[in-house]
Amino acid sequence: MTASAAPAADVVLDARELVRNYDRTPALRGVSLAVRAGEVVAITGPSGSGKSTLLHCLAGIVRPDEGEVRWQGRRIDTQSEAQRSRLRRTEFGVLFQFGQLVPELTAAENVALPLLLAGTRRRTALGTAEGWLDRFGVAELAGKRPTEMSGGQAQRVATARALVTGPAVLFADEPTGALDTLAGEQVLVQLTRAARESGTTVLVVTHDAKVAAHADREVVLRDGLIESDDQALLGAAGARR
Amino acid sequence: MSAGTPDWRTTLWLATTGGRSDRVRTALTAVGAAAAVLALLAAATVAAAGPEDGPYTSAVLNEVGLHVGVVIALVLLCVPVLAFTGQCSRIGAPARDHRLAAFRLSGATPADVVRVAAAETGAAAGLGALLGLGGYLLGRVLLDEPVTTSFVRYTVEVVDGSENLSRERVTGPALRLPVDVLPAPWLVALIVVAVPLLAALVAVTAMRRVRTTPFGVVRLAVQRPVRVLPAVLFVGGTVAMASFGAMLRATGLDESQGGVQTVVFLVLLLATAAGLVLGTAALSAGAGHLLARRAGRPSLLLAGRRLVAAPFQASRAGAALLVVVLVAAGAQAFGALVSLMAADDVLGTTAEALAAVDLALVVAGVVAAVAVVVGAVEGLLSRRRSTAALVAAGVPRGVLGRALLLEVLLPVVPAAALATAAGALATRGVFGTSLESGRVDADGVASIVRQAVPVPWSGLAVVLAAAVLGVALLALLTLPLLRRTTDPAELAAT
Amino acid sequence: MALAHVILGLLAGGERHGYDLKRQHDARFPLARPLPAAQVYATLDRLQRDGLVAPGAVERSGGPDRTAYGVTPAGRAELERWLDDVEGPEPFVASPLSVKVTLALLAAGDDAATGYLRRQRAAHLARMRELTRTVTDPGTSIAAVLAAGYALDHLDADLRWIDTALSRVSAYSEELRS
Repeated sequence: MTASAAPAADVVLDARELVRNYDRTPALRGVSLAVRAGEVVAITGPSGSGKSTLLHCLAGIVRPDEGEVRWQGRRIDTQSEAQRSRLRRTEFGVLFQFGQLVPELTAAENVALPLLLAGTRRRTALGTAEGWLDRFGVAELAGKRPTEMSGGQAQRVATARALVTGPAVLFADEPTGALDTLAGEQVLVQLTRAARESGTTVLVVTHDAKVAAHADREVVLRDGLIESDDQALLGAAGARR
Repeated sequence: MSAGTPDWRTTLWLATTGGRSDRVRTALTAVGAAAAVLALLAAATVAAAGPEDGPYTSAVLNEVGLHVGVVIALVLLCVPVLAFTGQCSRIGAPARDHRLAAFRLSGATPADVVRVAAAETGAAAGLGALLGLGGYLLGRVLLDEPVTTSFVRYTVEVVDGSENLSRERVTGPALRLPVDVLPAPWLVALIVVAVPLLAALVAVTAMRRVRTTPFGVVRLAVQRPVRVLPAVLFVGGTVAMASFGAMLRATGLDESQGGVQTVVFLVLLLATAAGLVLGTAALSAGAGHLLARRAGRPSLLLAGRRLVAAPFQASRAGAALLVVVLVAAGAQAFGALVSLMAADDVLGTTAEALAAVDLALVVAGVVAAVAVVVGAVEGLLSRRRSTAALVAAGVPRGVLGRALLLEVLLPVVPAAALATAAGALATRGVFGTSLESGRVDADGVASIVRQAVPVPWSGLAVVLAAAVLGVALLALLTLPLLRRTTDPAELAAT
Repeated sequence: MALAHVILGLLAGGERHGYDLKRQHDARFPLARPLPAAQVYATLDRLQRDGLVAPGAVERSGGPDRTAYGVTPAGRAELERWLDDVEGPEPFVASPLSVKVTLALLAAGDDAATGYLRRQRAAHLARMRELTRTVTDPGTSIAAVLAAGYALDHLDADLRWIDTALSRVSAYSEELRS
């Protein structure tokens, strides 16, 4: 129950002085962040503050122009595109606001995709996928295509896909942005519950405070810099379960 | 945690998932591969046909010396087929890009994605190659009955150690195509295997200019088409060929062997064709720019701006058509010369040969024209949403239809005219504008008669008109598709 | 919203005596301020005077007499009228948050205002975390979920105002400095 003053050895994702520009526009201007294993962190801030860029850098989708990103002590910002891609099918799970399900594949095939890309046999992968769909209450959608389901259902399928490989970290960018309140709440509850059950670290980018309220810790970005990080509250209010 | 690469089964499965537009693309790729395999197998068959085979109905096939030309022509036929297949590979590109981006997001490396793209093309082309082989074998079975007709037979007699080639027109049974000859099995296997492999290789190379990211696919396109180099190549090549004799004298090559001269000619031809091909992008962009600047009507403005925005798309398919026009114009001029040379073409072999050449060029032209229109259709489909929005906002469909036609024809017309002129000038320059022949008149006096080779104006006009009208006609046939795909209901779909 | 209507609503299911009403109220509205018993009795008196409730059976158990009250037809009519009626939006802004920020700006400068806004935001977020846990706990009753959701949405509205206020204050102070 006490998670206060965890030792530095517990830090799994460590970003130092990240700088990233898009053409001439600075998105990150020197952001440092340390995330501990099992934390659920919300990254908030007004639009244009750099939250998505920070998430992309931490997940290895994008390389920072300056600074370091370390995952379990190893630098990932210097790794090749191929190595960073492989992270996404083993140790990282990614969930975006929309557009990430393949419209031509069924829900089960979509969820199985990271496993298949990692070399798992088809039958095994589909079995695992169906298990995750069941866990999220959308087992009946296994054979349906993304165009045949509602936004909330599609996001639950996408969440299953993000978690199917049992990743150590889940990166979510506005996962409920396109959903109404109840559908979004459902997605978040299932996401955080599944993550907490397996000890997965979660980083959620959102501009919605009610989404941030599902997390234990909030990091606020403004104009490419961290404005506040309520890590200090972890001792009391951050206690989970 | 397994972090290996996806196995071949997964790659193949990922390559074959797709919607309707992907199936269309796969089917067209298969058709292109089948055509290429058929052409190459035909070439191999002709190459394997010797003087003991036949006889055939076509003089071109009977005279073994002409086989080289036929083989080269058939192999070159693969060029417009390649252009056609290349254009088809762009069909359904937005949906495929979206899919590839989703793969990348799920952890596929860029290499995985290239593998998937290559597998898709390779599998489609493999299917097509087998279909082509099947068609070839079927053709052999269907056409193996000789027909009784009049044809020219060549016989070689060895008299006193020297060969005499004599030909005579006879009537009897002859085969229409060399189905009695089978090329070496290893060659057949090589063709059937090489075409899909090459197709996959081309797909891999095409992916080099493309960056697949989890957010989408970015094409690294060169924005400004190169203008100077193509112009230099085209104009320089044409001028050099038009004044071939003078050029050879100037460079001191006029005394060299015929082989060297042939090589020079081929190099110049290649340079001219390359200049034409490379220059069409600049031509498209330039034409579009001019049109957009001075456009009073919205259809002109639309066409002009679209050409400026995507000059390479328009030019790639048109390039193959232009090369065909160039060669066709040259063939017309060459034919005028040959007709003059063989004015006493009693056996009709010259006419047959020229007809065969014309047939090959027509086939090549049709394929290239279809490629141009495929490119236009693909552009139409990928712009479906914005066009549907225009229609919903009240833009009359007539305006959009005219814009489409202009967009397709505008780069083609000036370039085709240039290609026609260049082809005729080059051929006349290299092979001469006048023919000298010896004549012995009734009194036994020998004299040299010089005849001017007529410029085949009508032939050239036909070539140019056929290219332009062919493209225009095919483009007109796509207008109903425009109507259907720009239905404002398209806006509602995902 | 007057306590009178709440009591009318609670009595609609059957007669109850005063202390029972208090217990019912506190059980059904767990997040509301608990009712003082005196207030319940005073309201019952007033309702009886207006003819909306009437005393019923009197219990005589070991302790003092406890009169049970029941709702009259007039009372039921009044309850229905109130339930049909729409709650008007507040005409006046009496929010302590916005008042405090304004005063901070005037009296102590924009740094003080910004500091207050940030602290208030952290406090709001902490409360929102607690409420979210309530809402997402599968064991919570529907009444508690509805009430917590209501509080969450209002805290969210406050928080959005705080974020905007932070931007406005920093723009305002930049303007002053330039």
